Parts: sequence; C-alpha cells; structure tokens
Amino acid sequence: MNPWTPDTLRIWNKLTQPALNRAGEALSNLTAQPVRLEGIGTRTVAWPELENKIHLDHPDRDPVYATHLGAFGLFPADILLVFSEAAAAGLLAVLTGEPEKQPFELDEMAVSALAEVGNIIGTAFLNVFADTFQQPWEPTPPRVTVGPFARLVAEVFPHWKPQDQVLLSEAVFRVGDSVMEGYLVVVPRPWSEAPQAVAKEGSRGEGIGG
Amino acid sequence: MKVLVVDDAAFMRMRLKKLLEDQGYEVVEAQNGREALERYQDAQPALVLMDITMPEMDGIEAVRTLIERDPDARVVMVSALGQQAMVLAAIQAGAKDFIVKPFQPDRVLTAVAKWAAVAERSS
Repeated sequence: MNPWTPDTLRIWNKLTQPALNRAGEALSNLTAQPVRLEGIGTRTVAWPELENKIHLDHPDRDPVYATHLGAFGLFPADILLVFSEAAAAGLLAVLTGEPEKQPFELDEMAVSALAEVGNIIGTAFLNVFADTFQQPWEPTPPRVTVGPFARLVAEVFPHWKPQDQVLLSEAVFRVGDSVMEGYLVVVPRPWSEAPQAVAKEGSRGEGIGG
Repeated sequence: MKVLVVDDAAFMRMRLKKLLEDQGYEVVEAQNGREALERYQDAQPALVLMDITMPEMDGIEAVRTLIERDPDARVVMVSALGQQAMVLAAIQAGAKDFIVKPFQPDRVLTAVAKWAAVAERSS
C-alpha cells in the first residue's frame, strides 16, 4: 500500500527543509550551540529497502538509537528518528555539556535527553505542518529504543508488511564542527485507528532495550 | 517561593530545576498531569510550569482540572508543541502564558518572576 500520492510527496518535500530549520533552531536553543539540520532528500521506500539501507550503514554489531513518537490529528502516523551510536553519543555530549563517555553508556538521564531530542525534532516537524494546514498535529510521549534496526522495527511496528511504503527523510546534523547523520522515518497509520488510542500509548523512555 | 515543575522528561525537569534553584526558588516536581494535581494540593506552589505531551494525563487536561479546583492557580505552559491551536487551547484552559520548548532561560525567569510577584501580592 502506498498512501503517498505525488501531491502529498510534493507538499512534504516543500515543508521538510523549513521543518528541519525549525528543528535546528530548537536544538540550538537547547544546546546553546549553533546547530543546523540539512535535508539530504525525502523519498518513499518499502520497509525491506529501508531495512537494507540502514543495515548497510549500521550492521547488527553496530546498534542504532531510535526515538519513536506517535502523531495524531492532521493524520495518524508514527515518527522514528534514528541515530548511530556515534551520533547519539555526540548529541548527548552537546546536550549535557560533558565529554563523550567511553564506552558509551545509556543511563536514565541519557535516555531522557535522547527522548527530548526526539521530542524537539519531531514536534518541530509537526508544528510546521500543523500551522501550514491550520490543524493540530500532536505527538505522543517519545520512547527510546536501542538495537539492530530490524528488531526496532518489529518492536515499534508489529503489524508492518513488506509492501508498506514509508516516507524517509535523511538529514545531516551539524553541531559546531561536528557532523552527525540521522534518519527521519514517517509511517502513516490507517485512518481507522482511533486518535485517542494513539495518544495514550507508551511513555517516555520506557521502551529502552539492550 | 515554590514552583511546581511538571514534565515527563527527567532531563527537562533537571534543567528547569537548576535554573530556578539558582535564582532562589524552591522546586517541586511531577512527571505527568495526574501527579501534578496531587503535588499541587500538597505543596500549594505559587506557580506551575506545565508541559503538554505527557502520559497518564496531558498538560491541557491538567490545567483545566486545576483551574476548576483552584481558579486562582497560576500555570505557565512550557511545551515544544507551539502550534497555534495548542497555544489557544492552553490559554482557554486557563494557562497564563505559553513558553515554547526548548526555552530561553531568560524567558522562563521573566515569566516566573512576573507570576511570583502576582502570587506575593495576593497572599
């Protein structure tokens, strides 16, 4: 199933860079450092293609860090922000103002900080679209998960089908002199799902897994 | 002067707590709207800083309930959800101000000082 028509894709492409700009400004405020988010491109891909792409960049021995938010209002969707361990460690160092920990450890405060990064970036996206369409588009509390991408997908999207098309926006984070790569994956949900049910699911950081 | 900070993110509560304690405020914390209602009753804070997106009970519902119970409650929203419709919903629910997260420290301190002064005059 591909819910992404050429029109919706055009709108998404048009609004993605403004949304990334707003997310960058928000992260700058949060970190007190210049942060710029640059969109590399937005396209639709089938789940297996996305999994292969992330698997090539980050094989199973190289876990990815993901923050998941549900979204309801404008249209029901799931938003997944995916970072490599290096990017997650770099972002945390910037957020906390402390040097990167070696080896990298994800303690309770680190989970909370990563959740907040996901919340800030994801909500900046939702805000741009909501204000453009004059309709609320609200997130659920973010949930952080860690592990091989295939396992994250199985956990977060238990009903995924290989033929389902998801929207992938790739972005580069520039924080001061550092460059970090991240992925933003948007998965529309069937309209039949009740927004209230989406809104009440999960809670921040509880989904953490090794 | 006591301030109730309501946010499900420990990271954000820590940042707000440090900011406020450095200015001499006493901080009480809650992780969601439901817990905020309990803490408010126990602690009787001069001001509440309230997030919106939280599990259990969101910030808009918590403000609405809080204002029903105490029409003089002073609540300032601190949320990333700065959509026009949400700002309006928060103000209609009874919030006095809306600060978009991530916040500028001065913006928070100015709002806290303003409503703390109002609380002091009315006590």
